[in-house]
Amino acid sequence: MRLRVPFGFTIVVMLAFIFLSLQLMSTALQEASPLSGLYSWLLLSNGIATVILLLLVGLNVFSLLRRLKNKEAGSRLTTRIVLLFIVLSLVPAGLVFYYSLQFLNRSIDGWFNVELDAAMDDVLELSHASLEQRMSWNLKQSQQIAQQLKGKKLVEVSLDLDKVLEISSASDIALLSKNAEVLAFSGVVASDILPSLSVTPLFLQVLQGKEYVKLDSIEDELVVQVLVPLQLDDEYYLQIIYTVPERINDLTDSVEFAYVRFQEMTYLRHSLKISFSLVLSLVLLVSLLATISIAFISMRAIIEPIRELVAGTRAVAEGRYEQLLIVARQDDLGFLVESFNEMVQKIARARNKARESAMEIEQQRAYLEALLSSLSSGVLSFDAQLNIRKANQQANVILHVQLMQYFGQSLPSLSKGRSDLLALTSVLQPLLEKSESVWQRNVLIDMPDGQRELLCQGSPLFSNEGEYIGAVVVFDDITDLIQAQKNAAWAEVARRLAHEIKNPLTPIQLSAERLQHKLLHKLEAEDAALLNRSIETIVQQVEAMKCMVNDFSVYAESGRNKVDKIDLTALVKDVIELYDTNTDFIIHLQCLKKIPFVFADSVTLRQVLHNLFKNALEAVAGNGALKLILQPCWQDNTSYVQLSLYDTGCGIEAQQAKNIFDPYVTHKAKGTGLGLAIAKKIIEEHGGSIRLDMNYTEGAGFIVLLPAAIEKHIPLMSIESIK
Amino acid sequence: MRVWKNSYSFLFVILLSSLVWRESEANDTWVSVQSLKWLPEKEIRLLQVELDFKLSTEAIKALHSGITLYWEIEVTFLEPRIWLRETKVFFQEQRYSLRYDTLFNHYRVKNESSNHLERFSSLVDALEFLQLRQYQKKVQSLEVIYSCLIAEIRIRFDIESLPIPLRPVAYFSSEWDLSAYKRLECD
Repeated sequence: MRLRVPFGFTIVVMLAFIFLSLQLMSTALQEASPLSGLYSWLLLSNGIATVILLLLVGLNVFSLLRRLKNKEAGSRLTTRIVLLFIVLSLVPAGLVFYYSLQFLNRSIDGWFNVELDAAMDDVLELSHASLEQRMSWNLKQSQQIAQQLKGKKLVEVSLDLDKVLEISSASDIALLSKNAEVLAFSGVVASDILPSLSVTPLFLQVLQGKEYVKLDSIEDELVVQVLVPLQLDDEYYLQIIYTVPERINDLTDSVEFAYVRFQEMTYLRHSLKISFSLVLSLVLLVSLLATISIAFISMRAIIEPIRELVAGTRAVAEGRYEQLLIVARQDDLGFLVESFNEMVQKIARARNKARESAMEIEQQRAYLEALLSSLSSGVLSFDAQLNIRKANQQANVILHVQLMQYFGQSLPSLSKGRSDLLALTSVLQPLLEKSESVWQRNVLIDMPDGQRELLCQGSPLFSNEGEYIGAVVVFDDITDLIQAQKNAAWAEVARRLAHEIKNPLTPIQLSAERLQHKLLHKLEAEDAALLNRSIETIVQQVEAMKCMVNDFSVYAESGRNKVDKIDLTALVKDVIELYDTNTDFIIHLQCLKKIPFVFADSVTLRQVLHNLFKNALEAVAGNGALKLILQPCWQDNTSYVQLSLYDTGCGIEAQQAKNIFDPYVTHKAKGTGLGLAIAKKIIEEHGGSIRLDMNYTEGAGFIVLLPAAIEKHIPLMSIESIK
Repeated sequence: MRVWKNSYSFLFVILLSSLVWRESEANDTWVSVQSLKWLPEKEIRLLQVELDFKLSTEAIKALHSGITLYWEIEVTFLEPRIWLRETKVFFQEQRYSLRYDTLFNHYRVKNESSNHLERFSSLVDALEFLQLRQYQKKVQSLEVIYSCLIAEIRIRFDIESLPIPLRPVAYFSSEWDLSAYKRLECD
């Protein structure tokens, strides 16, 4: 929450009020000012206004500190400007304040010094001495009057009072009894019937025979009151009031006033210093606050557009280009805002273009991605450091590895943990490093599903500027293609052999039998026996050749399968029963209760099983075991039925394993070498595969995969063991 | 923020110490109401007030420097009302001034309301003159004599009559705290 203070207007009002109040205070401090009665109120209101101003400035300082903490835009600039204002104002104002105070203190101290103080005392003493002399003279005069009236009768004295008054230039004269009663009175003012001053309370002192003289005042005029005893027929007293001459009266007043004023000023010296210091301090404080306020107000006007600019910059950083800033000023900041708006518009246009380009690139990338995905070839691309950058899905399938996890790594890192890929990487890496043009290589690699042959074609990549930016390798698994070509060639050979050999066999056999029939009776027994043996040999060899030719015919035939939905488990069990008579050859079958059906030709599939069983039987030399495992499996998004066959025979050597499925490859003394080739051909015609299980070392192991008739993957449940 | 907390603590300590200092200064009472009692009189309600007037050193110094000191003495009789504001049945305000006359070397006490002037040769005499006061109010019936009345007396030293430079100091110095107040509740 940002603290919002009605700063500008309030502070201007407060400052105006304070300066007015200070002016009034200054006036009130002057002598006899009508505003002197308001001094305390002015001081109080000034103090309160200053405190309010201080609070307002304090709030702004607090707000500024918080903005600094939050690292808001313009806060540092405001701080610097405010500090600059403070320094610029405080230095001269402080100097003026200091020297003003010094001057004031010295001036006030200069008003009062010892000589002046002593002179004032002397003046007062002089005044006192003058008055005392006057009083002494009046006393003496009164004593003379008392002496002149001495011995007279009371009535005579009463009548003489007017004359005495006239002679003595007294203002009034009264004859008093011992009880201080006024017996007779005479005054300058005829209407007065009583003395202007009452009888002194010290009358008892007079009764004891002492004279009494005292200075007094009547209506601000100095008078001398004298009481003297008067010896008549009894004890009487005269009270004579003398007026002090006007000149002396005025001078005495003036001296008294000056002395009192001087004493008062002397006493107020310290307070005066405090008052002036207070006013000066207030002026300094208010000036400082005014400076800070002006700094804040000025900076607010400057910072506001900067804040808007920062907000606009943040909006641009967040990708919002729609809102343009309002150009409220025609100064440099307004020009800056205009430039900013123009820049934002340009950036927005550039961004839109960049977006369109990016979308186009993305579309092209997606198209390329789709293209690569749809390719049957594997594609591997490399960056300039020959680290794997991209690979398509088919590359994963061919190499049986998730290449994505090797992105950014070198090609040899593929063979870490995948030794079967070492042959590939060891061939490709030098080619990638050295080749500057398109190259092609066939690479043989041993994959888990057998040996595969890859046709690899590579090419270095260059940018438009001719800079080397990487390479691309396209590879195809041509194993099946080559195999198909081989199969086709072998089939053609078989077909021609069958055709060329089968035709003369029957005439050969018939001719041999005819020779036997014609010549047997005509020859001697010894010769007849030789003929018989020879004829039998010919017939046997012809039969053997017929069998071989039949095998060739079978191998040469293709696509003549009568496919049906069959139960592979039942078919396997049927074939097993044929071998059940041989007690030395034990066949174990493990299968799930429910194995999916397969689409296959039961006749040809039976032949495959016969071939495999026969091979196993021959491998164990009639005494051993064959273990069969039937199970459904899920591979490459296809449901298969897997039949694994493991015999306990002599096994197959690694060298032979490479071409065990090729025609005319056999390690047996007898045999055409077509059994596994025919089995492989039939299985592949069913969309399946057959491979050697190289992990099995106790004999020969084959794994046959046939596509299931259902697409649903059946989980492993329980295994039934069947003899 | 630690700085702010420290600043607040600093201000608090200053405020507290200034209050303690002010309190310790305020222990000296220069003017006080010694007693306030009703005197039994017929047909009048007579209030006797005994004041104790003393002057601080600073006030004596100012007095001898020619500065006149002014007091306003307000006496109020109030009639209590249940649930209502008290009713003022008597009010008297008198303004007195005390001045030292350098020329005559005496102290002058003047009732500014009546212009009555008394001169005293010593300050003690002048202050004693101010100390004893009696205020009376005539009543119409006996009921009022025995009714309950509240008496209030307020002696207010007039700082605003002091010279201007002295006023700010006088407002904040206990030396110039020459005022008093007392209230006598009815029995």
